[in-house]
Parts: sequence; C-alpha cells; structure tokens
Amino acid sequence: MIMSTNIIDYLDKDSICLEVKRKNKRNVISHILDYLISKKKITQANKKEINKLLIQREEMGSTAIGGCIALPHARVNSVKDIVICLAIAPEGVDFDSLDQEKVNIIALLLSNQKEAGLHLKMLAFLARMLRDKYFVQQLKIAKTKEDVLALVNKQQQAVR
Amino acid sequence: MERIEKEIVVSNIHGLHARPAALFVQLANQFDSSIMLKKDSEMVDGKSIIAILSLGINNGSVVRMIVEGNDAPQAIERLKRFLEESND
Repeated sequence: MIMSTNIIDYLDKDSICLEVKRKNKRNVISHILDYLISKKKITQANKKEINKLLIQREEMGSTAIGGCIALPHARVNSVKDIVICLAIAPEGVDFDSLDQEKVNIIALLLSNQKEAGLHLKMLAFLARMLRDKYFVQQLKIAKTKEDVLALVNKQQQAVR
Repeated sequence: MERIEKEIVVSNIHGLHARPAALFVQLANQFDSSIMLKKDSEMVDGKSIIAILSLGINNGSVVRMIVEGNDAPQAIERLKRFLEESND
C-alpha cells in the first residue's frame, strides 16, 4: 500500500498538544508520550520502549535544529505506520538546541521500522513547513487546536 | 572570490536525515564560503539543518552544490567527500 505523505492525514485534534509547560527535553518527551497514550495513539505498554529510543536518538545529537524547533523522532515496531504529535510550548523548553535557543515547537515523529522512506519524507515535509519563520510564529501564538490544524493545512498546500 | 559548482550523488544509506544533516552543517560552518545545495528546482542554504532536511535527500539523490568564497575549493572537496562517503 502506498502511504500518504500528507501531514494532515496523520494530524487531528488528538495529535496536537498545546500549552506544554515542561521545562526540559526529557520531561517534554515523556509528557508528549503520555498525551499520545491518553488519545490512544500509542499504548502505555509501549511507552518505555518509545521513550528509550527517542532519548537514545537525542543523546546522539539534539534534534533541536535551531529556529525554536525540535523534531524528536524514532522508528519503532510498535507503531502502526506513522504517529505525529505537534506540541507547542509558548514559554520555551531547554532542548540542548544547536543554536542554544529554547524550543517552542516540538514535532515528534514515530514511524514503523519498515517505513524508512516515508520516515525521511515526513521529516523533510515537516522541515519544509517549519523553515518558514512566519508559520512558526503563527503556530507559537495559536490558541486552539482548530487554529493549529487550519494553519498546518494552509501551510501544507503552500509548500507542496 | 571563487565560485564552484559540482553535481554529487549522495551515498548516505539512509539519505540526509536529521543526524547527517546536522553533521553536514557543522562541517559547512567550518568554511567561510557560502554553501548552497540544490535538488530538483529547489535551492537552499547548506548551513541550515532545517533547509537541508526539507530537501528530503535520499541515498542516490543527485544534488548540486554551489560554493562561493575564498575557501571554496577546500569546502567543496570536504563536503563532497562527506556526502559521497558517509554511510550512517
């Protein structure tokens, strides 16, 4: 089956996490995973494994790539296809960013092991959307999940 | 100021995903020259991780590197080697 590379196909209200208040990387990642569990996107039984893989990846080099953005990601067997969570932390998170700045937008990507090609395409597409500073600014001040979805939808069409 | 362009076939087995993109940028920043990467019709700043990631460079992708500056020959040689040899 050919999987979609439309971000919006993997994003709904349950994959958007607003007003994240955690201060550091480990707490934020754990918080996002708990959020995904509460929305039944992943299971509690798999949290430990997913958390471990995400942290291992961060230890190899921070995924906070500058411009207030982090793209924590892992390929895991327990995830079906693709799971994305777009988390917004208006006050910023210390994510060991390469430009030393705090991170406000965390786009967490989990893909199934067999989806290596799709994983890279998704990372690329997230980067295409998030390299637009105006879009990032709008996301930072978005008040509702509906606002975020509308912004992503518009941006997806603009960069496609 | 020297300007050099080269076409490169990327040999990184997983493509230029986040970690190799960060390493590429780290390497690119050791040079004063401006470094641009072009894939298909899109050209981006080779010193920005998010810009490089956005190109979605796979193993086997053909990219054009455009380097301009006083250390352009050294920069293009080093970065070309990185893209052609890196296999993580």
